[in-house]
Amino acid sequence: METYDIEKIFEKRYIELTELEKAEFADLFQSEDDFNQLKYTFSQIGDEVNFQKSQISEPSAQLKTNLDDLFHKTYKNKGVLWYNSLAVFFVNEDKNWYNQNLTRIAAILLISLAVLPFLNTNQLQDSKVLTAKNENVSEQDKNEDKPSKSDENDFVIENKNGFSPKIDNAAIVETEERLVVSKPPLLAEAETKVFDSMEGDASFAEDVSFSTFTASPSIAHPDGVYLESDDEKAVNGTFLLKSNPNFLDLLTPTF
Amino acid sequence: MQILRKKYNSYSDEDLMKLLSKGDKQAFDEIYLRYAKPMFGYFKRLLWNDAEKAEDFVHDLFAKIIQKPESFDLERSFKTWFYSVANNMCKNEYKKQEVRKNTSYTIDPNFVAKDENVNVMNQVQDSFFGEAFDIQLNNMDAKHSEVFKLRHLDGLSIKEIAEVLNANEGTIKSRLFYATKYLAESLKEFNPLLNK
Repeated sequence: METYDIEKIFEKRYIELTELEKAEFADLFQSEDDFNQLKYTFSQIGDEVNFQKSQISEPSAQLKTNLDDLFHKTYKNKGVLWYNSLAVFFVNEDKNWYNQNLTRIAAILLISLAVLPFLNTNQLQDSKVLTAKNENVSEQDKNEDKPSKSDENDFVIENKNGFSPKIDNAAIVETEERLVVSKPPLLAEAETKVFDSMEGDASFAEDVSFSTFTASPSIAHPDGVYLESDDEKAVNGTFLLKSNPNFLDLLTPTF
Repeated sequence: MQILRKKYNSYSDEDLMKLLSKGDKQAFDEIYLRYAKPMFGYFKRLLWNDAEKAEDFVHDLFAKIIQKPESFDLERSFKTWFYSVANNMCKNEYKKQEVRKNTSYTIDPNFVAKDENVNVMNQVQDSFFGEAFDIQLNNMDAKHSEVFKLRHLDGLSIKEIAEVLNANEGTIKSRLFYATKYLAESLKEFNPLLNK
């Protein structure tokens, strides 16, 4: 009887019992009828037990009140301190070290610090340069008592990152002037000669029709410069290219 | 606020006792919620269905864990420890009653007449099965009925009963077997199969 649990025996049917089990409980039942009768009685007992369990009443509310009072009296000097609660939040003895809140917070901080240097490095550098430029401008503004004309013409360019640096207009003008000055000196001299000669013996007739230039088959110059024939020269007679051979050469580079 | 509140109902009894010993009122409330009703039923059964006495015993039992939570060994199962304490309280009460019975000239109101020669079947013939069951349970030997009650009414396992009663599991199984056998034989008159 110590081998088999009597409750489990009654969960089976008689034919399911082994010979060993039947021998074990021989003093309880001899036949299938005995077994079924015993099983039925046992199920009745089970029902009764369940009924009795459901009938257990709650103790009175006064009992709980008395116990609460006793609890408050006993623990009135053992109030929970706020920093103890905080300490328990960070380090809980019941948890493993990797489940501690302190460990989690430390891990998050560590990951953040490790990742931060790789986030938008270029953007950060650009912003530094632009900031420096702005500082220079502002320092320059401070040094000047009155705002200059170029400052008034300053315009703001907004780049795609949202920065709006000021660009000095005077610097751009200066650059353009340098480009003009840097023209080839030979070209400048030749140009001057041509126009000097044109002032004397030639004038651009306003009545020369545009169709004359476009219909003429004698346009052989690769840049499309018009070469006047001798007949045409006789008709117009106002501007002689042969007498100004450098004219075309001068025109070519200007295109 | 609900998010920040600890889920006390998910804590084990032992964890709640740890918190209780630190003055956590909610831990005490949770233990009370779990055990007040079963312990009230336990005391009521063992103390002659005296509800008032049972309530006093429940108070004393919970007062013990409030005032001396350190008396519970955290290495042990709280449930078995709690039932052990309750069982010892009942035994002390039996001793007190025994002393009173021997020194008193009046009949103890808690005393239940027990006559082995009474024909039980005649007593319960016209009553319900439940009443007959109660009578048979009370007529049974105390050590057998105790095991049966702890197993079926309090829902303790064989191992837990062994710890509560400080006996080995084999003994508990044996007592449970004889208690079941006794009840089955005593109550077989209610079996319609037999009455055919």
